[in-house]
Amino acid sequence: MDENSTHEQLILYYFNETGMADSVMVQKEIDTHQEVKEEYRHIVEVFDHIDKIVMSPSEKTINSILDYSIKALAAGHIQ
Amino acid sequence: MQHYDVSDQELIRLYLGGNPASFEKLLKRYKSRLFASIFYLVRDKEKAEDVFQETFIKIISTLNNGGYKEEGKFLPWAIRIARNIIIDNARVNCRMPMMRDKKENGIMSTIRMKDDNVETKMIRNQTITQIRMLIEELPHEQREIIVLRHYADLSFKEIAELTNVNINTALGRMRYALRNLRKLVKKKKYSAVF
Repeated sequence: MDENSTHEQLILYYFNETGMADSVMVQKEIDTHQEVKEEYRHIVEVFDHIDKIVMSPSEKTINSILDYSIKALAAGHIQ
Repeated sequence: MQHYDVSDQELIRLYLGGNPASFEKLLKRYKSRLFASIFYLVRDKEKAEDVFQETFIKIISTLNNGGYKEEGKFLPWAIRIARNIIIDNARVNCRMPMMRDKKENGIMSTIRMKDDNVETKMIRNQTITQIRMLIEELPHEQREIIVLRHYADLSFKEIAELTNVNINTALGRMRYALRNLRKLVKKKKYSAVF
């Protein structure tokens, strides 16, 4: 694999988007080559840190949407 | 990808059958992923709240008019609607959504801290601030790919369809985003983040 395709395979592997055969191949690359292992570690660390961010809309917005969903249902359809 | 006991399609069917609690469940299932995605694209809390609400009003209208056809793909559909609203708003304002957020509307006022420990909160604050700054400095297409893959949890195939590019282009954008994040870390000499 060239450098770019290896990196893209690592990205797909991290997000569980590789098939069984590719997963085995990528894991083997990680286990065999130090530079590939480093690349994968970097991907994992980036997304592990981003994972700590949790955001939600305000309760006011949620309640407005839920009110609208009930009214729409009661009306049968929206004009 | 997450899997649920009751599918999105079933919740929609129950809602349209007269059960509003099913819609509430659907909304709560996706509110964080959708809101985070919108927020990172518009970078302003008030605007994100408006786009989020507008998105769900459009969703509710479409559901009640029988216009929803995308079985099993509720989130990509919802994000497509949100993305179109953001693009339309940007056209109205004659600019792309690249505005700097006001401090009080920025990500720090939106994030919910799960830990009670003060020291942990401080470290997390620092880390989140750094991540926010790094992601905001990425070019729009690279920021979008991180948002759609990481926060919205869309597959690269779904992102490719949503953004009208092929999957290799979507993967290439992610590769460049990661590379640029690494460069930014070095440039700014951050230590708390990777």
